[in-house]
Amino acid sequence: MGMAKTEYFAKRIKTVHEEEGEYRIIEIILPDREAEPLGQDETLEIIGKPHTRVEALDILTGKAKYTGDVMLPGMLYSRLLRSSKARAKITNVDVGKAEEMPGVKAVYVLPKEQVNYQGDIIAAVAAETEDIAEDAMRAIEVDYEELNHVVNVDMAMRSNATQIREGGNLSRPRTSERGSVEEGFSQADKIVEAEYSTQFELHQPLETHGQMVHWKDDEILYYKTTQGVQSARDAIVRELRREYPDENISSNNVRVVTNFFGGGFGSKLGANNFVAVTARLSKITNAPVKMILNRYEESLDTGNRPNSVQKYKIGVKNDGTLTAIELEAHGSGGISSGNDNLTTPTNEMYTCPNTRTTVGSVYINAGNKKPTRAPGYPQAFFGFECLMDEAADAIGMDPLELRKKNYADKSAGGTGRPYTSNGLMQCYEIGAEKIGWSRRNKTPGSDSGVKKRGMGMADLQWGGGGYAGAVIEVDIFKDGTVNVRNGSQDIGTGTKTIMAQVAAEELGLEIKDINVQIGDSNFPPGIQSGGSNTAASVCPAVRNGALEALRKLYPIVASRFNVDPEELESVKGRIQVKDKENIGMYFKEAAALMPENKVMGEGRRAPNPREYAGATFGVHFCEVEVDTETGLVKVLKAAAVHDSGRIINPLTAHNQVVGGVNQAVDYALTAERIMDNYTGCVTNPNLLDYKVITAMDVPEIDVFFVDIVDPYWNNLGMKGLGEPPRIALAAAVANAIYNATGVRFRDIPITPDKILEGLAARKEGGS
Amino acid sequence: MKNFAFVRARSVKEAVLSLGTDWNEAAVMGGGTDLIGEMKNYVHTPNKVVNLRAVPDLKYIKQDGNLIKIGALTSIAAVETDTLIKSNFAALSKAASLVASPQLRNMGTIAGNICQRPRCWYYRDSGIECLRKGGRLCYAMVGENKYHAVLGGLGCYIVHPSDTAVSFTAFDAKIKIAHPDGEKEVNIEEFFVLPEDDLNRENILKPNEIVTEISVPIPENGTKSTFIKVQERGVWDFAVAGVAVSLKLDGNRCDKARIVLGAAAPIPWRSLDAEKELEGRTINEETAQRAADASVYNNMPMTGNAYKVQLFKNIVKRAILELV
Ligand SMILES: Cc1cc2nc3c(=O)[nH]c(=O)nc-3n(C[C@H](O)[C@H](O)[C@H](O)COP(=O)(O)OP(=O)(O)OC[C@H]3O[C@@H](n4cnc5c(N)ncnc54)[C@H](O)[C@@H]3O)c2cc1C
Ligand code: SF4
Repeated sequence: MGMAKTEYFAKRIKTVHEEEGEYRIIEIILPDREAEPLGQDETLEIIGKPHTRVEALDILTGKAKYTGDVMLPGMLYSRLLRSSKARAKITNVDVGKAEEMPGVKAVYVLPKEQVNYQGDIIAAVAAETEDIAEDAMRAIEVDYEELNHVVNVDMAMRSNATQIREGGNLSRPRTSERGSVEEGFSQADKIVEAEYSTQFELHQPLETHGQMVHWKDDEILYYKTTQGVQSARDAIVRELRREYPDENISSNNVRVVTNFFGGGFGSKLGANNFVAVTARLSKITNAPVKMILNRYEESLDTGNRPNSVQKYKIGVKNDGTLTAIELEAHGSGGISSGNDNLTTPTNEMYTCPNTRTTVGSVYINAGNKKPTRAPGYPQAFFGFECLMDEAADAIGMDPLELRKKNYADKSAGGTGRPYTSNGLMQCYEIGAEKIGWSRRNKTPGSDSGVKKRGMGMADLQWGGGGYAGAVIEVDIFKDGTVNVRNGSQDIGTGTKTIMAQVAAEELGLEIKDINVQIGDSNFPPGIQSGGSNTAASVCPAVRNGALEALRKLYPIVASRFNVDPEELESVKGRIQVKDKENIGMYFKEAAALMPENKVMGEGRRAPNPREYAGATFGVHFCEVEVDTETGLVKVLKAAAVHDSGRIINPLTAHNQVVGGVNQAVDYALTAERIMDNYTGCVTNPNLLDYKVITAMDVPEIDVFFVDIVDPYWNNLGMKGLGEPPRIALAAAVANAIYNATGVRFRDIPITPDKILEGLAARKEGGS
Repeated sequence: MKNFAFVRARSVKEAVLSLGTDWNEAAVMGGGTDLIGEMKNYVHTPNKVVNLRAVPDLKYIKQDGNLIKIGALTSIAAVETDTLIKSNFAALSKAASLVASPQLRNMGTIAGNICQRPRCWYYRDSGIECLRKGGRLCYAMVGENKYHAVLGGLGCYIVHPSDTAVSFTAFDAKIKIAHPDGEKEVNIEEFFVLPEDDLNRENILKPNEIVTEISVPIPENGTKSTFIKVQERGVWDFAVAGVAVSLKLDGNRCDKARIVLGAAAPIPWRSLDAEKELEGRTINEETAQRAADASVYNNMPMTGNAYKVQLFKNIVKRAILELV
């Protein structure tokens, strides 16, 4: 393209890139022309209307091929031998018996002197069938010299604890401060102090991690379960280059494909710790090698949400004004990862000039954390939103009123940049009405009877507004069909569908006319499905790409009618002079006139505005019933109200919220990774004992979007939604249990043993 | 899964003769919903599996005089829905309805249900050799034991996982056992064994014995029964605590009581003390409470399961009062 060098550079700017709570400065290329922002009152044909997922039928009929379904001629199956010890030196690995087994094609022992958690990979086997691979894996003999391990966070923190890594079990805590908490507390009428804790959570996607790798001559192909085909590709290139310095391994011969995806929740971001060993097996055997983890491995070694212990002190005036918040917290991301960020609710959620947070990490002999649907937030919002409830109680205020009172229209607790939009006030109104907030017990525990009902609520906030970086290729073919192509992937939220909706809207076509191609690392720059960023990163660029393609088509039509191409629009399958149906032609006719067999539009997204802060908001209300004799808690109803900007597809958006609420129910009540101190092993690495909820436990869920079109954030006025629905409900449940029983439970999951013990303790006079 | 030989037995005789004298030699399979899981996880790796599915005439629920007889291969779902059982043994039908999930109730057999192996998570971890598996230590005693036994444990603290066995015990069921030399029948209370009698097995079966029938006497007129199960999830979950209560009532006066706790002990735990509190008395809040308190006499909680003691009291009382 004949663009002058100076012009090219003029189009690049530096911008702040936020992902999973980390900030980086990145350079981006500005879109050539930015589509006019679509305002609140815009009449739209396809955007904002419910559409089933474009691949729904393929999924339902089994036509969709997930990674595990991929079959290649001559393929082998593989298994990984994993450590049964939490911490041990490996003195010898004998693969003799395994290698001799008929059907075994390769056995590879990783160069590892020590294992540091149960599930740590020791060796890998490739064989003709999965059963042979499993038997061979079990025939490998490992001699361990056991070392002391620590799998319990409290124990790891003791001064006499075995130090399990160089640098010790504790990291230096990170502290941040705004204003003066001392001064703030001195202005408070009431000070509330409380400690909350949350469990280790496992992602447990339906589809376990896996891949099929074929290292063939000069190309390495991965069919892979990943939330980022391109970030995985980059990580694989780095890792394989390290392992094979003499081979030609580069971005143009490593390809990662994810056609269908069965859930990840963060655990499938980037590559994983068995990409290299699978490639090695493929290289040794010169065959495609399939490696699909089982549920046991999935539970041990594909990531987790760190636990947390949060000690809060909050100062509040009798009128509800927050004067100071202090947080001291820690948590563990396992053997080598740090803790999640736990500071957002303290620092951001409400207007409060004075805050101090100190967050540390603890290391234990357990699998590493991975980002888990809204990393850090369900933990932190559980603690903080229970704290708000306790503060409301201390000054005798309705917990909802306390939140309204401290509404922040600027970031950094009211001290930073103004938000592009913050629909919390509308969320409060709708949620309170949907749940029937006025019906709740005015005195906690006053519901009579054995089964007590109560209501609770909690707020949430998340980033997820997307960012610039994706490039969308929109191809219009001579036959009038359209391809939309990008190196992102559909994590299961309906990315493909909303891309088709936006393209169809912009092109004046129907969804069926658009073929969205994603999930291949060879496609134009995409973004990984993380941070709830995909939709709001990709969709605005789809608009620009569609417009760019139309701009290449318009001159052909314009010359026919002797009008300026700028006067044209593409609506309802026709390209015509704006508002003049009679001057124009069908889209298909126009395409047929193209001199070449297709035109390509390249769409980018403008960066987020610098003068504003952007965030998604929401509030979850719920009603619970506590059986005071069995300790069982049933969430009867949840009302989940979200401000995620413009909702592109209310159906898939609704599904996101339902899924998030369900995960939050088991986070609140049943699900927890349990480790045995003595053996250092996970006692419940399966879906029977790791209790994700079942259909019978799903509450009635009322989903509502305030649908405020964000005026500044991007050309569609949309924000993210993947993670927000996961954040607030656990706190709402705990607050509702308090409202039902009059007893506070500050440690999740709130299982029957805790309920019964808590109720018994109160009977004996305490609280 | 380790390779194994597969025998499709055509008769009970063939089945017992195909089984060996050692547990590792062969395992008998009903629905396979438990056995296959154990084999996949390498918890149990028999060299041979003897499938009973093709044995004719082991699938029935029928009345024979004063007895209702249930064939070994009868599905749990059939026990749940059968009208003879519903009308005579409400507690059994209810227990069956709360087992696992609809799919598992369709696949699982009634004999397999009462013969299923423990769910102690140390037992189910193939990497751990605990006492029950011939090792030297009960890991639950020093470890994570919130679901373990508060009664009857000695050395090993499993809880018996079967829901239906609890109700069968409340109805004085008899278990018919086939062995290479013939048949025998034992009372259900003799069928299950405590760790103090056998650390490695939950019942008296020998490796080459199989259950062929469970027969249950039709209760006397005026008998009512119920079953309560506390499970952390709405479905697909083993009991944290369960209880079957069967009472012969004359008005509100209790002539005869059976109170059996599930998930309390390594066997379905019949609480004679609780039964005594009710027999000959009028049932009301107070007597129900006394029976509830008595139901857990001599309990010995571990580090993480003391809550179950109160839980059992609560559900025993609730179950008793449900019947008047
Ligand atoms: C996820 C899950 C949840 C569950 N939840 C519950 C629950 O809540 N409550 C509950 O009660 N159960 C529960 N179960 C257990 C389930 O009910 C049993 O798996 C089922 O009843 C076993 O029946 P089966 O016919 O499939 O037995 P199999 O798997 O075939 O056999 C089970 C055991 O019994 C032996 N066996 C089978 N038949 C005979 C026979 N005729 N004579 C002698 N021995 C025999 C086998 O050798 C094996 O050791 C659950 C199981 C799973 C997998
Ligand atoms: S309770 Fe029994 S099965 Fe469980 S660890 Fe102890 S000995 Fe083993």
